[in-house]
Amino acid sequence: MASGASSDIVVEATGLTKVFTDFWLRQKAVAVDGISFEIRRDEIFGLLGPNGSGKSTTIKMILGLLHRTKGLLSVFGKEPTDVAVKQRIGYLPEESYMYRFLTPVETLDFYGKLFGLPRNVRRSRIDELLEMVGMTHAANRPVGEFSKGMARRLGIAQALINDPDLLILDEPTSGLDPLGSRQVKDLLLDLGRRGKTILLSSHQLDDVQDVCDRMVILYGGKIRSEGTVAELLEDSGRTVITTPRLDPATVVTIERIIRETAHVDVERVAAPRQRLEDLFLEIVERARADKASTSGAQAGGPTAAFLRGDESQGTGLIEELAAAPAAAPKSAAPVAPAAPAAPVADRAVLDDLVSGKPSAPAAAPAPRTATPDAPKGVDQSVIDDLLGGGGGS
Amino acid sequence: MTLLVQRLHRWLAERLATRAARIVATLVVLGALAWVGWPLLQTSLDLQAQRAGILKSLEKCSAKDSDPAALELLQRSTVTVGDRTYGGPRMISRAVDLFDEDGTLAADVKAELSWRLLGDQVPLWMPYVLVRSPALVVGVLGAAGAAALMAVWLGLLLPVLEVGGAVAALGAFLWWIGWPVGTQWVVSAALSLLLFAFLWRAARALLSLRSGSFAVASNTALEGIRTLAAPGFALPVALLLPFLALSRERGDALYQAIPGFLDWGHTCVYTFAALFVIFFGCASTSFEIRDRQVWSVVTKPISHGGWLLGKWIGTLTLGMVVVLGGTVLLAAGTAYLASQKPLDERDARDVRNTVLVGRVGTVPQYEQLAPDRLREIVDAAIEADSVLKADIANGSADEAQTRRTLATAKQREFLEQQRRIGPGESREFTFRGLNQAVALGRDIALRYKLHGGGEDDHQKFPAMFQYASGKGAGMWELREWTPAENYSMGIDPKFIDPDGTLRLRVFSAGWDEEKKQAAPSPITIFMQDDSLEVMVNDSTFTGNLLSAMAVDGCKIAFLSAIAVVAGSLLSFPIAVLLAFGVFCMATITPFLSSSLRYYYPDEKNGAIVWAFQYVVLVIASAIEFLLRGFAARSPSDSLAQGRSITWDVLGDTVLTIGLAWTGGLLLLGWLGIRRKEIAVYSGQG
Repeated sequence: MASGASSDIVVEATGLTKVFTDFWLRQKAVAVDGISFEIRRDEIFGLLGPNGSGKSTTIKMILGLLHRTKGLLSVFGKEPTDVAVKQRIGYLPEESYMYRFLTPVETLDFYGKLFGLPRNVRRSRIDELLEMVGMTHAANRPVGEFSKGMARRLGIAQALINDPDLLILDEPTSGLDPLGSRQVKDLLLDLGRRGKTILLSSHQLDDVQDVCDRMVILYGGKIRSEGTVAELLEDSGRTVITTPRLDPATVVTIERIIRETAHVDVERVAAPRQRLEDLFLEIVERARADKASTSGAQAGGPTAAFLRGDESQGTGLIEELAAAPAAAPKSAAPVAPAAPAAPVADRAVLDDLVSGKPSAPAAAPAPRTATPDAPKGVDQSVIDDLLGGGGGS
Repeated sequence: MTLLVQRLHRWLAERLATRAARIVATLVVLGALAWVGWPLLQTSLDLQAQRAGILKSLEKCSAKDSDPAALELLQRSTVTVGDRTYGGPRMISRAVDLFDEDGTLAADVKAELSWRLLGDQVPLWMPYVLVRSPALVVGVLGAAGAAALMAVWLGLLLPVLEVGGAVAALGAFLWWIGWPVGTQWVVSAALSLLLFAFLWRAARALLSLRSGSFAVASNTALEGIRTLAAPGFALPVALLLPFLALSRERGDALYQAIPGFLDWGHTCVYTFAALFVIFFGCASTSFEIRDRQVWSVVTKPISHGGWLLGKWIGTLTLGMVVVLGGTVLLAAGTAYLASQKPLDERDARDVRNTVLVGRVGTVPQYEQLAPDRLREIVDAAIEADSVLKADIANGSADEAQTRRTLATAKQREFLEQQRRIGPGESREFTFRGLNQAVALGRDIALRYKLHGGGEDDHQKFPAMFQYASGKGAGMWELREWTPAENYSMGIDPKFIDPDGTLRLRVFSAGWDEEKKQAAPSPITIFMQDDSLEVMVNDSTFTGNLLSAMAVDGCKIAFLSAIAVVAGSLLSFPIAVLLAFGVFCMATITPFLSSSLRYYYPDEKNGAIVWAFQYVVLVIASAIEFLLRGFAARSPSDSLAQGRSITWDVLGDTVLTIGLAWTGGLLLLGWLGIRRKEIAVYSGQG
């Protein structure tokens, strides 16, 4: 399966497929459909996609919680169900499924024992982890009394108890306040710098954009896009020239030159940045336009009237609309973009720019400056002497 | 108010958790031990010395030789040691019953009598059981001290004080309203709960290994304790067993009260332990999968099989806590009852010889009709019945089935004839395999329970037992019996042949004192399977109790395996239905066996009904075959009847139920769960 620098590949999937069947072995859902990807060592890898795109299913196959239907999958060069492999993995599920009757200390101690950690190592790590996630004050309270955010923090701690080489995080910032989210992102970056491999699945696109090195975007169980953050967010249909801030006149000049030489109009002059969210939606729209199948959720409808509390108004409104002839809506005339002001330009300068020949600097036209009125009662001869005998123009 | 109590509790907990407080508590415990223990030990030693004096006085105590001690005992029911006189008519109702046929006192009679005579010397505040041995006093004090110190240093001091305070208050109140038995019950129940608390702690300590399966087991045990599932099932045991022991009526014979306590008490312990492992095993496993905590476990370096093994170990450990705690309570309750005053000498002797022992029984061998003879009888019966003969000839009755039914009936008739003794008649019964018992010098007794006379338990009938083997062949004994009551009669080894055979002729007759001859009894004696049995002492009561605990442990291990395997593969309701169903079927298998003897599909009811009956027969037979070993090994009956749970039975139970059945189930569970997809398709990605 792996070739070349196989030790650099932590997770490798080739043609990975997962089909769920019902009791009668009839196909119920194709959750993952022939995806191939690699997660390399020391990188933070993002797994994106809307609900039902196959993210969690892929993660569960990597962890051995589900068996693949087709394809190849290896983790650290071994089968995902290999028990020894799990010694190097830390996993945070999408929800923190903890034992309600245990305290955080007991929870981490239990998981530490599963990893075979000695007692003194467990103790010191438990103290450090609880402090890191801000749970020291609740170390001996039953987990059943925790809020979602607190349970999530504990979940993060348990995923790190064994100092894993591969950290798999499913919605790590879910349920966390902005500060907690920031802390988690900083932690992930720090872990990434330390050489940890991280697989991150999240709906928080800003989180993924901030921390991931590479990502795949799934829809309907297939990979729709894959690459580094920079590659994916780059808009290849446009050119961005970044300069220090320019004055409007220079901007106008540049626009004219581009129009005359490249015969294209400058579309926008601004501080350019494509948002990940825009890219994400663009891909999903493209997939929907292709009428690609998905086993996940479809686009949601409007909120039910009884939840809004205005059910009777809604009915009356519909009747009114049905009774009155509808006025033909005016189509809005497209607003033509304002024509740029006719530039006043020094053609010689631009000619030189185009030809590449330097030209003698044109004598700058003497600036016309208004001669200030001489102040009344001033002996003009003194001033003339100062100016070398010459008078002002 | 609640808040105040909570604050007070928290304040006390913080104070008592300090090292200084623990040191002070340790000193208090040691001081209390000395204050209570020293008088106990002194009294016990003093009583031991007095007992030694009594035994010395009874050393030469032959009525035949008119020893002074024997004469004093027979005439005044007293024993004098130095200037002290023990006993009296209140203590010894019929001194003549103490002596055997040779006019001497047997060693065990002397031992029991010596304790009885000291009854007045035991202070009211001192538990009688502690009188018997200073070593026991030291042991009990040591154990109590160790437990108290463990409570101090394991952080259990405050719960012990709180519970102890509440118990003391309730006990004092019950004493005040004139129900001292209630006080004893409350204190016993509290001590029982404390025992369980320590056993749970010990169990967790035992499971605190670093390995994956034991970590899961420890977590499972903690779940059972913290969710109050284990305490919920241990509480009835802690309440019921002391209550059963203390609820003996004054007029009840110990010979009946102790077996009753053992029977009910052991059934209670086993049933609650079994129900606990079934419900908790199913719940813990299935809920952990349903609620997805298992995801965080099996994504660690532990296999699915390792997780399943851990769940089984944890469930079994908690179940064994109930069994072990219950066994300790059974022993304590039995010791308490045995220390009570018996009704009479016979009651005391029966308790010694037939209850607080472990005996092995040999039943008489009955003749069977030889196959040729049986065939002749069946042929004659068919020949004599013209209707039956015609049915067979024309095919409306199946000949093989008919012959089988007739043969079974005739064999049963023949057997019953051997178990019937008409008025004035006799029958000889043969018991074999007693040579080892004779060689080892074990006590041998005949246990008999006869039926007849309308089963009226107010009437007594005579029977005579004549020995037809051994050196004493021809000698006989006269006994009276009440229908359906158990009796015991000691058998001298001289009546047993060298090859270990005992032949005994039973007469339905009595002795006419006037005519000096045997007189027929007015009724016919009927015998059942358990009517005659020669019992040989094989083990002590304590050994038997431990064997019973081991048998229970094997059964609990099997039930735990069913529960966790079912819970790992099925939803909770279905898993419980399956596990509980197997438990019920296994328990009623003896009744199923008896019923199957008389159940036949009947063609006369039509093909559909016949087919249905046949399917029922097949299923019932399969269940009976698979599970017959489970119920056959029932320690409750053995303990109550003073029967030994032999090494053979114990070994067979361990190998069959403990290893083969349980191991097989766990293997099936492993095969099922290793390929099970723990996660589910949620449609969420």
